[in-house]
Amino acid sequence: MTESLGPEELGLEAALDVLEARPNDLEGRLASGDEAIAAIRRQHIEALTLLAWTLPAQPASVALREKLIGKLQGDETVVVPSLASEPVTIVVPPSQIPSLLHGALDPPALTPAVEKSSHSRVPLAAEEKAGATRAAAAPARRAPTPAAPMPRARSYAWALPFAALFALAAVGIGWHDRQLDSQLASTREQLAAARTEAQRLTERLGEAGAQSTAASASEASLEQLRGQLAMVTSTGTAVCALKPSRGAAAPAAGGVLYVAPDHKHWYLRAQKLPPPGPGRAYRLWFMVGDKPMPAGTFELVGDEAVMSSPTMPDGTSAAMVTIEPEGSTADRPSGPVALFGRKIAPLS
Amino acid sequence: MRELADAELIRRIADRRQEALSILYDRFAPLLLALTRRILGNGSDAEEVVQETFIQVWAQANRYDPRRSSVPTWLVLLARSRAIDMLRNRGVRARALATATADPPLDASPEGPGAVWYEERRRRLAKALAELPREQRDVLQHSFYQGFSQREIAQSTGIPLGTVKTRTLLALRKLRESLRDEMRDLL
Repeated sequence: MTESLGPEELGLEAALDVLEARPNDLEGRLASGDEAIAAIRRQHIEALTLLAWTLPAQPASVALREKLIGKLQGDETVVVPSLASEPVTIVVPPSQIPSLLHGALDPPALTPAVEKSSHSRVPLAAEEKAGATRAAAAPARRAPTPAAPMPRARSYAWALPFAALFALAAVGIGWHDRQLDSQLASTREQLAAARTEAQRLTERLGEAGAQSTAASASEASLEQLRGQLAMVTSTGTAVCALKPSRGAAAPAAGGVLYVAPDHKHWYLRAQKLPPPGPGRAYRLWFMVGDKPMPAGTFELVGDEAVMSSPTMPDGTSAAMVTIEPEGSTADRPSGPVALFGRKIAPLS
Repeated sequence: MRELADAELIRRIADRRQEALSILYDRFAPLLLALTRRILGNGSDAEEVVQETFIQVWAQANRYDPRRSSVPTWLVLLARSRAIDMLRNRGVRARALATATADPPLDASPEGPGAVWYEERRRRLAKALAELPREQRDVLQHSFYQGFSQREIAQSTGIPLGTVKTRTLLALRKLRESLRDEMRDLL
């Protein structure tokens, strides 16, 4: 029977044979056969195992990895990153944001989470503005819904499609409203973060300036701080809120990527990140379409990190932070995702 | 240090370097967990199989031969084989057959662009699979996810053995053709 089969058919049969192997037989079956048949078998096996990639990826538990490493025997060193979340404290600078910042940050007029007393008027204005915006938008959205032909309908045959249209329109409006609410809440959070960051930078600038007079701070670092402050306070700045992945080891971690209006200069501040582990480093990636572009690694100071640069790839629309092997120059991420931002959007 | 190629990781694991195994785990555990969950339908069993798979990799890394399979394929074969062995031992194959063509597990994949890349690839592959005629896709899935032999598929479905074989062979050929680009990096 098999005498009439060519390498192609024999390769296919061999691939099926591999699929039926028990764990202990697998190596033997992969090794058997002559070269021509083995080559075809391999093509079929590679194609077939790609089926596994059609399944949604399941988060790999860090605990499972640590358990696995714990089971291994015979090594002198164990290099496993500890991603356990550590207790952290956020230090919110106590002083007020200087008045010069209010002008820059007020236009969006949304509530900073840390300054309720000094800006009690702002949330109301923001709500009014948001409400007015939505009220203005609502008629435009609802305009098509009266569906004038409805009264002319004289039978269920006419009425049913229009009823369906009404229902769809209502669902659509409700969904759109929820989207707006969600976007508004997100913008609020980002503005609050921007205000806090601006306050922190201002204080640092003041401290650095004072130290500069004592000849202990360089002009370069002052310039860097000024640049970061300008970016955070510019009305044209876009932001990307970075949040932990589902199931991440540090669910409280977060960050904001500020992108200047030229879409080149950027500034990242991340917080509440646990140490990446021995031999590992946090790495920032910019997403151009679905392609990650490396943007450099950063080190933590405490549980925080700051990073900035005057270059960003054209078309960058999102960003993420992963944990990679230290010193890696790989052009795609291989480690777990620590933080992820879905899109870069205007702050105001 | 550049990103280590999959095969280089295996070589380092063969040299007993646990850091390499840790990196390999980060790289492939989501894929293997997805596969073993699909086969076993049980999260804790799936984790157990994935653990055993990586322990096997640790123990047998020196047996890996890049001429026979790519690293991802080797890992998938090891994990799949172990998962199906667990199915056989536990006598739950009847249940597995019932779920062979059921919906895949809910998407619990991590957010992030590693996941974006994964998701893009997943979509392309799912499309290739969906383009197979239903009867061919079914026999492939019975074979791949449940480990049924051609004869077992024929017996359990009532389809003549010759027909099962023909469908399987046609499906494998089509799959190989449609996934030629995806396999370029693997071969």
